[in-house]
Parts: sequence; C-alpha cells; structure tokens
Amino acid sequence: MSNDHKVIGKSIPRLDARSKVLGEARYADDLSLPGMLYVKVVRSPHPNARIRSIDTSRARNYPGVVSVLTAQDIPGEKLMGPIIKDQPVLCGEVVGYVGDAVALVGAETEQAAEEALELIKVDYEILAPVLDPLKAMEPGAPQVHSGGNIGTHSKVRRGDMEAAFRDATVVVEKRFFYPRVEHAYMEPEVAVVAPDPGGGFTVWSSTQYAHLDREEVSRVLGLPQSRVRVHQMMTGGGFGGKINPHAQCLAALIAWKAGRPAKLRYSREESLISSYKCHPFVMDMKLGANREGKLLALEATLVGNTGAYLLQGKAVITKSATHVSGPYYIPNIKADAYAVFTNCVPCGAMRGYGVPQVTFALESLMDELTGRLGLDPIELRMRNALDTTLPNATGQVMGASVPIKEMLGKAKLTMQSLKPLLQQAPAKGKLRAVGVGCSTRGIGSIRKPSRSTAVVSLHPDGSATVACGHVDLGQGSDTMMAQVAAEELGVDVDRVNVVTNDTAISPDCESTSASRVTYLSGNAVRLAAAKARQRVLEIAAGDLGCAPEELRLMNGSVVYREQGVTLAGLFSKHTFHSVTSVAEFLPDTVPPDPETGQGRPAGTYNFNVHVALVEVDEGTGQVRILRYLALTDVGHMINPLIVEGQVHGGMMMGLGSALMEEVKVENGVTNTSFATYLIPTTFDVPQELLIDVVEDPEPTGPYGAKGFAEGSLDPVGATIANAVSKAIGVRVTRLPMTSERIHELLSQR
Amino acid sequence: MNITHNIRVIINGQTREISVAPNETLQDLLRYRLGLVGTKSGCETGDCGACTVIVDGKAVNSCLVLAVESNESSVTTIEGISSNGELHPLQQAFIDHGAVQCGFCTPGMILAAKSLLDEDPNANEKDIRLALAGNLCRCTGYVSILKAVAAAGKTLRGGK
Amino acid sequence: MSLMEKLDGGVSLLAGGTDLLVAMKDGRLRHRTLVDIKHISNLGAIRPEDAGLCLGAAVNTRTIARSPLVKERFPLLSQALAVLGSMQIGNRATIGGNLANASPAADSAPALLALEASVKLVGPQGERLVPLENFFSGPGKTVLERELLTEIHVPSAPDQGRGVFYKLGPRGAPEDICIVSVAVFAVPDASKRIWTDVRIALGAVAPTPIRARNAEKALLGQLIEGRAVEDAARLAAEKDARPISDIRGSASYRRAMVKILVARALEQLSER
Repeated sequence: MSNDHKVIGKSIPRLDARSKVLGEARYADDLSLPGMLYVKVVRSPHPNARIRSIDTSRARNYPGVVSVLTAQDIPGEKLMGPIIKDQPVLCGEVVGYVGDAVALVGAETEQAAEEALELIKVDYEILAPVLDPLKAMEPGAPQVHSGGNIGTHSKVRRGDMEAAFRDATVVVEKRFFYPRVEHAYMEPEVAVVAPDPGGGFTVWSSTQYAHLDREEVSRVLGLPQSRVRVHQMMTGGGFGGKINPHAQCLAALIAWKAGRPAKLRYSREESLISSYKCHPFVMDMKLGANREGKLLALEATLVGNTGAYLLQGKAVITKSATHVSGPYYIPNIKADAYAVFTNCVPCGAMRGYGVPQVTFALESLMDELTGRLGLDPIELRMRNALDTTLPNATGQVMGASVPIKEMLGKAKLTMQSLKPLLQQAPAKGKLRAVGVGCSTRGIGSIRKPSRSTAVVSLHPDGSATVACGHVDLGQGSDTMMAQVAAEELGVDVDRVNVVTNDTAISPDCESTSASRVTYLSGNAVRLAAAKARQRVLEIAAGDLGCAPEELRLMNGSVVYREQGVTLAGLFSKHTFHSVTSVAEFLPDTVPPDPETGQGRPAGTYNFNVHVALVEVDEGTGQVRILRYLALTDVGHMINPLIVEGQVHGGMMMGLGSALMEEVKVENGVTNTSFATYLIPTTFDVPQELLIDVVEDPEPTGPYGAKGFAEGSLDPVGATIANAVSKAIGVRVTRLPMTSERIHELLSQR
Repeated sequence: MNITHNIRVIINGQTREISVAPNETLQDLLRYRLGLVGTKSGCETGDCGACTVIVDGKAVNSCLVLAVESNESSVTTIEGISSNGELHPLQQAFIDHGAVQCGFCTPGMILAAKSLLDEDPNANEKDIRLALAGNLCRCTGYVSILKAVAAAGKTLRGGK
Repeated sequence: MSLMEKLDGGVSLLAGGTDLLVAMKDGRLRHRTLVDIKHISNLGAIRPEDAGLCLGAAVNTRTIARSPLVKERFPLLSQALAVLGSMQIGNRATIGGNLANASPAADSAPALLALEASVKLVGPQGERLVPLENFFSGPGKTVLERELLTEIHVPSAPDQGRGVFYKLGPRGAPEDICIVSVAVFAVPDASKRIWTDVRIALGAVAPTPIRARNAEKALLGQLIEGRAVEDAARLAAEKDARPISDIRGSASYRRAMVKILVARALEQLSER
C-alpha cells in the first residue's frame, strides 16, 4: 500500500519516552500531598468464612491512626464491579476468597498503618471452600453464592451436530487446561484520593479506565459522578488488570472518613494474592473433519474458573465461545462456555480475554487432525481458513481484510526455511520440531457495541489539543492519536497535545482494552480532526471565494494556490479562539444472540499466524525456543516502531503462560512474590524473534488500521505447544509446559 | 526507642547529610524523603530490579539496601545520568529503539545497563542478557531493550 | 564479638542483606538489632593461599565470580557464583551470607563442597575450622554458635582435576532458585583412564547441600569410560538425594534430575 502520508506510517518515537527515560514521568506512588494518610487493608486469610465480628478498638487508638473503616461505614453502594456489581468493596458478612478486603486503616505513616492492621481482630466462622470449578458445577455442590455456582453460560449453536459428526471421517477429542495467569504489571496498584473544598473528590490512580474509577468511587461515596474527578497518572502497565478500581474505592473511603488525602499502594504480595487474574480454563473439545480435511463440526465445553466474583467473567466467557472456531470456517458448531464461581481469587480481564485459551485447544486438535489425515499443518489450515465470504463462529462474514491465507503461505515458507535447522544433527538428547498456531479476534467488546468519542481543538497557531478517554498504558495510544490528528490537521506531531487522562476533559470511551483503541479512537480522532479541518476550510473558502476542496491546511495556515492565510488571521477575523469539533465512532455491529451466539459483533477482526522452532531437552524436559516468527495482521501500520513493541511484548507474555506462568491456589494464592510467580526474563527471549507485519487494509479502520495488541499473544501458547508436541511425540494438553510436565510426558512415550 | 543514624552520602554528585531510621531502605530514602521518585518500587523483595540504583559503581536493588549502609557511599539514580538536559547515550538509545513502553522498568533497566557498560564497555549480547536478567519488563518483551543497550554500547565505544 | 555478647538474643548479622531484608519485610524477623559486619577488616578480601584460596566472608559473590584469580584457580566456583542471582543481587550478596543462610538450595554450596572447602568460625571461645560438609545442620541451620563466619578456605586441587556445575531452574535465569543443582569435581589418573578422586555435590535435594558419597564411592578406581557413570548417577538419585516436593518441583522429578545431571556432568568431564 503506498504511503503518501506525512506522519502516518512513520516510526515516531513515543511522545512520553523522554520523560520516562529521565525518570520524570509521574506515577501515582510518586505523588505526595500535604496531610496525606497511608491506607492499609485487612484481608481475609480464609477462602470461605462468615464474619462474626470485627474488633477495631485497639487499632483506632493506636498512635498515628486517624481512621478505621469497615463495611458498615460505607456511605454509598457496598458492591462494585466492571460489568456485574457483585464484589463487596469491604466484606461485611461473608468473605469469598483469601485476600478479600475486610477493613481499612488510615494512618499518618505507612508503618503506623501496618502495625495497626495487626491490632484488628476479625472473628471468622470458617466454612468449607469450593475450589475446583468442575466440582462446583456438580449438582449438590456447596454454593459460593446464593444464585448458584454458574455465573454465566454463553452459547454458540449452528447447524446439525449429530449429522456432521456422522459424516466426519476423522474425529479428534481431548481435554485441555490453560493456567490462571497473573498480569504482573511492573507497577503494583496505587490510588491517591483527596477531598475537594467543594465537597467532591479528586482521584489520582494507576488505571486503564479513569471513568470507571469515577463511577465506582462516586457510587461508593454516595455522590453524583459529576463530583468526582479522576486523573490517570502515568500507569506502569495494565494488561486488563487495572480496570476494576478497587484500590481507588478503598482509598476514597479513608479520604472521605478522615477528610484528608489518602494513598493506598498495594505491596507486590498483596497484588499477587488479591488482585484479579486471567481465567484458567478446562476445555473439552471435539473436532470432526472429512477425508479431505474439511472441518465439519466443532463441539466444545469451556469452563472458566471465575473465582469468588464475576467481574468481567460474563464477557470473557462470551468472547471465548464466540471465538471457539478460530480463524476457520466450521459449518456446525455447538459451544457451551461457563464462568463458574469458586472460592478462588476472582478472575477477570486479561490480555487475551478467553481467546488464548480456546486457541490452545483448537490449534492442538488441528495438529491432531494433521496426524490422522496425513496432511501438513499449513495445508489443513489453508483448506479451512476464513476469507472475505465465509462466516466465523458468530456467523459474521468479514467482507474485507481477511489475510489469513496469505499469512499461512508466508508461514509455510518460513517452515521450509527452518528445515535445515531441523535436519542438522541436534546435540545429543535434544529434540527439535517446528509448530504453527493461528488465531483471530474481533476488535472491541463482543457482548455490546463499543464506541469512542474524541474532541479536537485547533488553535490559532496551528497547534491542536485532542481529548479522548482511552488512556495510554504504555502501549503508545497517545502517540497514535497525536499522529492521526497531526496528519489530518497538517501539523507536526509535537504540536499536538493529547489529553486522555482527565475525566473532566476526556470523554468516556470505556476501558483501554479489547485491542480497541487504534480502531475506535483512531477513527474518532480522525473524524473529529477532519471535522475541525472542514469547518476551518469552509470559513476560509467563504473568505477566499473558492470551494473548500481547493484548500489545504498546513502548519497553521490555510493554503490556496500560491496564497495562504494564517489560522490566527482567519480566526481573529471571525472571532474564533479555537475551532473545536466532536466526533463519535461506533462501528455497525449486532451483538451475539444469547441462544445461538450468532450476530455481527465486531467492526473488524485481526488475524495472527505464528511459527516456532523449539528444542526440547529429552532428559530434563526443558524447552528452548530457537526461532519464532509472528505474522501479524494490522491493516495498516500507524507507527511501525510501536507495532513492533506490541508484538514483542505480546509474544513474550504468551511465552510466559506457555512455559512458566501459573497462579497456584491452595486455599489462597501461593505464589506471593516474583520469586515464585515467574515471568520471562532477558534469558527467555528466543534466539531469534521475528515479526512480519501484513497490511491488508481494513476499510472501516483509520487509514486502514485495525487492532492487534492482544492478537500478538493469542496464538503463542498454541504455537509453542504444537512444536513441543511434535518434538516429543506426545500431545501437550496442559499449560504451562514446565520442564517437569514435559519430562512426565516424555516418560509416557 | 527512636534511634536514628546520621549518614553522609553523595547522591548524583551532591553530598548530603541525612538522619535516617535504622529500618529505612535506600529506596525509601530516595523516593519518599528526598523526592527522587525516578527510582521505582516494583516488588520490594529484590526480584524485579525496578529499584536499581548504582552504589559505588555497582548496580544494586535499593529495596534491599538499608539507608545506613550507604553511609560514605556514592549513589547514582536515574536523575543523575543526564547532564544539563543532554541525555546519556543509553537514554537516547532507549527512545530511538522503542525500548520504552509503560516506562516503569525503564530507570532501573537503564541504570543496570549503565553499570554493565561502565564495567565492561565491550559487553556483547550474551553479557547484556546476563546483566539485565534481574530487571523484569512486562511490556516490551526485551527485544528492543537488548538492541538499545547494544547500540548505546557502540556509541560509547566511539561508534565501533 | 563483645558487642554481640552484649546484644545477645536479638541480633542479626547484616552482610549483603539480600536474604535478611526479605525476611524482615516478610515479618519473619522482627525488631532485631542488626550488626553490619561488612567493614570488618579482612572479611572483604580474596587471597591466594598456597595453590588454593582464602575468601573473606564479606566478599560479594559477583566479585568472586568475576575475579581473574578465582577463574584461573577454581573455574567451577566462578561458574557457580555467576548464576547465584541477578547482577544486582550478586553485587550485594556475600559468600559468607549465602553459606550462613544455609538454604538447601544455596548456589555457592555445591561447588564449595565439591572443592572440599572449609569455613573459619570465630566466637567468644576462639576460632575453629570446620569442613563445609559439617557446617550445615538442617534447612536454614548451621553449627554456628554465636560465632561469625569469617573466611572460606578452598584448598588447592590436583592439577588434572576439572569441575562442572549445573543449575536446573524453572527459567534458566540466574535469579532462579534452583530445582536441582549439581557440582562435580573429578580427578583422573595420569593415564586419564581411571577416576582417582571424584566429588559430587547436590543442592536442593536434601535438608542441606550434600556430598553424594554413595555415588562417589562407585566411581573411585573405575574406568572413566564405562558403566560406572550410570551406576553413580543412579546411586546419587536413589541413595544420596532425599528431596521433598515443593512449589518448584516434585520429589520424583528432583530424583530423576539428579540422575540425569550427575550423569551428564560426569560424561562432560570424561570427554575433556
């Protein structure tokens, strides 16, 4: 695609990079306000218990302690949650998991708060916990909540399953396990809340969704949303884990009670134990194909352990069900996905949101089929890949930008080029193999429409301000928005100020999640900037006696043939101080039907094909990745450097779940530090990690761009598992592939 | 019993005389008392490297150093490696190579890399991986960081 | 020493702080008085001692790993300490602290055991030299009785001796706590056909780091090329190792890894 853009498609260094390398960027814990109190949280040590009483008297009298709070002191709503409000802000009667918040202390120093915590005596009546989601689904299982243990049930129904499996020449069926994963953002949760002179509150937080902070804090304090203002501070990573503003609500309660600023920062241990995780899935999948390798039927039961509270469980489960058939056309599908309550740590949004889980299961079964049919892995996938005419699991036909076959072709070439490395006599006791994995994902929320709103102000000197509510978590969205506005308004990128971090200024666009920002906000910013530009050109056209189409906006002037009139001049003549336009982008979608899962739920889909060459140590079971290729469908690159960064990051995060990451729960979370919850280090980067970006423009995307932030993670577990399974000759059905697990599989040969 | 210790420490070239509590860590001193918030707190147990500073030429986790232990020492934080707004080659390389995303690991990562390159100007890719293994990053996948450090090393060697 | 006597009961010695501070933050150690021993003279030096070495207890493990003298005389020790922890940890952690902390998985122990090191303990009653093998008494426990570990003596080793260290961790990163570690130091005879002295040390598979004496016995006087390696590896796993299951691995996996890694180490040493 020819790039005649000034700024779009350029690898501009991210706008906030300088402040970060200088150590000048300000994160929430860097804030200190006069009179600020430090907040600590009493958390349940039991997974399931009734609270008989809480004695806070000794804590209240401890030197330095200013406020102590329990659930009964909450002035407003006592339950919170991003979709369903079922999580207690502070538990009053019952605790649902180890780490559930029970009481708060606000003190003059952190040390005093910590010491006072130990003086709070909670009398628990310990109850038997339900920890296994499959057991929780059995009739007669103890109930975690009164409404039963099934939090949600999402379905996909299409075609005639019985007939299809009858016609199938080959049927493969297995149970798969995907681990519970911790986001492990480098910055733990922090919130600072202060009362305003007018009776409202201001929040400074590490967050992915400032407007939800506002909503929840205002609800909990019993105030209108208009009285709470939230500033998103520079945020040290989110990955889905900073959508639920629990720390914000807890800090707000102390700020409200004491009438003073209050800071709550989670220790890493506290974050590992109590913050929500990615759903572990148990998946039973059955796939049937005919002799030629055409997929006929897919049946799946997906069980996600949502822990004590639903959080985004409904949405994760719906996403997993609606993506169950991946990037293939499968005419007959029956999928049932459940979010099941247990007394484990709650699970919610995490990069991937159900798609990495189903991708692992489906792609593993695809490879099982290749074995049974005698087809090579690429050929089987080619024969079933979606294109612009075929419907996905929801029945949606994409119509454009479905480059998966082209990507499979490239993957095939890569796999061929890796043959010499495979055939090279490996060192003694090492097994090598190549694996492939593919995925697709709908951009934005699936259950309901996602929109974005942007406000663009063009100033007399040609500089501009963009206000939009999707926050930058480090993925570079502010820079993307600046590039879009700069392109549309004909100015340099550094003359565009992007404000996404202030609820009083930035319009609510929902959370920064679902890989949605480039597609939704990129479009909203483009539309708003174009509107502002159009308005200016129309005014100028009137003055110059020509048509607006003959004019261009460039560096703060309107240019007409050889003439130009500065914006300053134009504005002052018409008494404008700035021209401000608002635009909204809402893709034309239809949410999936609750009974069948059919609809047209996303404006665009992103595709990914990954290839891995692995080496397995036959003795120890250790897995090393020698070569990795991530083929990524982005529609059009707005900033190649930023695209690369996202793909590297997503791939390595996926590698973590593939090889080493698992939050273990025995009553409560047992990995309580980064010494026991292991994430990839520099040592784990493959010898060679390559990215190949495919640009098949999405017509409804800004400059043809679509999202891919989660897409780079979705197929990683599947790809590595397929390679390892090939290498060891045994199907891997459980992630992560720790050396002990692989050793165990090897010994089964 | 509120014991304090008087220490003399040179921070980013400036000598300071400070009274510290016995259980105050160097990280606490830098961040919460001296306002040098560039040094980040990621885990407080020496597992993530976000709090890395350079003490007497060696990269250490400031969360595991007591403030009293830095008496008579020279400490360099992220605020101390640029001069008059001119970036250290590592800082520039991180920007140029897209090695900064959320930025939280960045100060610690840069200081760890600086201490490596100061000790070993000819550090190769293997040396860099080993030296930075104690600095966790969740955003970048490390690839651009490794490239940035290698590029900065080359710049510091005069382009070779 | 007299200071320690005065403060007896609530004192912890502070060297590198990389284990101590974590324990304090965890709440496992409270309201202790800390005595910083880093600046006691002679605890911070690496000295040649005949053909061996004397390591001051307060020397940082990374300093030892990078020391040209150590690399030259005991590459096995240098190799092991290079992966004791991250660069930041290694710049603070001390060899004495790592030993005195007495984790069964202590990364410095297997190599020092294989090199038959001894430790000098100084207390109110005087000084004593204790073979490292007798220094550990249980997980986190040593024979120290109100004493300070001041020096580690690594005796000279036979010229033809060679060593190798394997650390099996969940990631292969230096900061990993090992699942199993193996250090082997082996001396062939002049003709290089028979083992005359083999020391095999194991980490993380017993209440303390240990010498695999049963395995060693099976190798003495044996042909270097032969079934001896298999037998020794099996004995190390079945008779010497007494692993438990924990968050890093099961006991049976650890046993299996002892067998594999001991065999590999011996094979690698046979080839040279």
